[in-house]
Amino acid sequence: MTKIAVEVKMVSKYYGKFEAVKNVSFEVFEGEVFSLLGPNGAGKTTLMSMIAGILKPSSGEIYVKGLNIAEHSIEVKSLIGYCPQEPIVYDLLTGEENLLYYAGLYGLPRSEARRRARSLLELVELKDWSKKLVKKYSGGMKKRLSLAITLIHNPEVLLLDEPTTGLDPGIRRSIWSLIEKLKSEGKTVILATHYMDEADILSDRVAIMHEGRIVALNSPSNLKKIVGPYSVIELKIKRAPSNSIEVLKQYSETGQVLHRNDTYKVYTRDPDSVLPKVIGEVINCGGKVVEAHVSEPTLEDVFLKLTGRRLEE
Amino acid sequence: MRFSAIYAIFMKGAKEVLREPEVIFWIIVFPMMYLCISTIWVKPPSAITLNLGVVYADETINNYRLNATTIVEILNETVMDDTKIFNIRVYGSEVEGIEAVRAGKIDLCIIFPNRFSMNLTWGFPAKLKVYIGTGNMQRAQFAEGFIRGILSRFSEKLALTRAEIPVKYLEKYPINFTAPVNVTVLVEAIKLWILGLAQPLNVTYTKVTPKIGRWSWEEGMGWMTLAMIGVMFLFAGMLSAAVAIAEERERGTLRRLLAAPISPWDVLLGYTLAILFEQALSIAATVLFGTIALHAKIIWNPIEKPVHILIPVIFLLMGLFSIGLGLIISMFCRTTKAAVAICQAISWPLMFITGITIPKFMLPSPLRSLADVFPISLAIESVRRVVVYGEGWSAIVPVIPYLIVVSFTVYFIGAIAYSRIVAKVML
Repeated sequence: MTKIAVEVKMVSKYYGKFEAVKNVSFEVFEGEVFSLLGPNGAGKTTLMSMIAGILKPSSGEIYVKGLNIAEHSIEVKSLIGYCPQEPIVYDLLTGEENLLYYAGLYGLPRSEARRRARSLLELVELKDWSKKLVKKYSGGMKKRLSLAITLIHNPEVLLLDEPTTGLDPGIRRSIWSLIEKLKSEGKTVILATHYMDEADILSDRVAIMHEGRIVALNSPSNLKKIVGPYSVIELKIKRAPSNSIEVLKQYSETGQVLHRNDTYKVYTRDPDSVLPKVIGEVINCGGKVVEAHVSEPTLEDVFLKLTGRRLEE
Repeated sequence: MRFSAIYAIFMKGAKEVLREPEVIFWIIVFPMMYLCISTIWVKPPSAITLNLGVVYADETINNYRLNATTIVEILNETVMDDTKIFNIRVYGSEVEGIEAVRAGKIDLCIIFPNRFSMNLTWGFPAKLKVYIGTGNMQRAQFAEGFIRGILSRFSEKLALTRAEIPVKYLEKYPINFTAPVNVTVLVEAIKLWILGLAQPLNVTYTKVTPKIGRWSWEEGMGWMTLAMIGVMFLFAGMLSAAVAIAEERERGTLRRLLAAPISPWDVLLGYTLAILFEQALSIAATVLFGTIALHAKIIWNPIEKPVHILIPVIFLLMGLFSIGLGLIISMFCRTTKAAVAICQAISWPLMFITGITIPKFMLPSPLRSLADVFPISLAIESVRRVVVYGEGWSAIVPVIPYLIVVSFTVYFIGAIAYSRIVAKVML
């Protein structure tokens, strides 16, 4: 039977009258990658901070490895590796010194701290930079070092808050492979992200958050089924007519059209016959279709279906 | 309490201090720069040389041995701190002399009128005129002060010399009185009366060097070196505490610290130790520079003088006081910039109005009262009395209870302020 690593029970968080997290409950199993997917302001960071023991829930309980965080704060914090959104590194220390500093906070013996620092610097491919001051590091390097810091005390549960935000695609992929490696080592990872591809690729299960609530929780493939048995026609239109969304809605069987910049998504069961029609309609209205392809639904489509909004709104 | 965490925070803080050029400037370079600049006013003022014009309108000058040139020679030979006071030029007429004063070529001009030498020799009132240029008020004051002083001393000496002549006659040719008087007593009274005519006031002037105000170079630099340590407590101590917390808060690392299995008090203690280290470093650098490079008199020898053991205690108390102030300030600052601005706005005036860098006696009365209660001023002053002026227990013991109470109270309030910051982050 799979053991529960983290259990969130009816947790809410209020800031005055504003409810940032509303009565959220879920369980995260040992060794799984669990994503909290949602746009900015959905309550992901607040929820992560509460699991990390930084914020106190207004109501509800959180258990990590069976320990109530409110009662066993110090023990729970030792089990968790928390990597917040912003880099947690100090510019005037070297990469190695940063790791040793955090090792000290977790009470690691000096020799063990050095050994772990060396192996983690190798893991995040910063071995050659270990003796250089962090102020000379790029943003991506700082993020990788932050991840290494999160692992310094060999935690059982990792909380990664937007670990790839603001990074270029190459570095994002290297961080993804690092997370996959951690999963293969049996670590439990809770990942907060607003990148649907990140959640899709890395997660065993995804909790979709919207306005402080979890609106759906399942594996990515099961979540996509929410969209229905539809394929997605994705059109890139130049000089799009002002009524394009209205025009395209006629062909979208979900009644929704996802629009971002000059890209439009139409949902249909029969893409082969619908695709030529929508292209013809756009051209008739004065638009120019520069790209068109058919794909399966993504988590973004799920989010749209559930909330009526785009993930990045 | 996790000692490894406290040690880690201390080590991080210490490394950051040593690697941050701005911090190094404030705790090491700034005191040195200030000490170098302070040498300007610690050095006693050097004697001033005045340009003196002389006009001999006296036609009797060659007829008498005691004449106008006697006075000019005295003026020419007058020195102060091995520097001649007067640089003398001779002018042909009174008009020329006055013109030279007006043109600023000379600071003052003495006119010896006709028959000056004769009057001087015969014991008649010998008039002379002195014109003093007022273009430079400071030089004018010096000129007037010097010439008045020298001429009045000359006049007094001359009067005494003249008075001694009849006194000697009285001694040589005693008067025979028929009246029943004590002749000896009477003659003594007449002699004293004659001398009194020449010297109505017999004033004795004795120079007393004050402890503060006019000092030796070594004491002056010792005074200033301690002043810089006081300044360091204001700037480095307060600023470091305020910035440390504001910085952790601003870049989000305070949240990360709170996610570690340590208490907020471990963080505070670690930072306190790091800032105390920074202050110790600054004190060591300032004292070494002051004593070695500028020959400041600072004697610290706890083996010979046990009272010196209290000096580090006082510095520790001031360290805690300044850290406490910084923590209180950090409560009102969300950013590092704000912390720096507020600390500087507080530190700069305090540096000048609390008797730390400007001697207390030079301050206006209300500020003197402030200096009497401001802990850093009191601490620095008592340390000065011990290590610069060599005083004993009485200089330092009376202020210790006050400093303990104030330092711990301010640090305690600072700790409460810090706990409120942490509570805000955790809300």
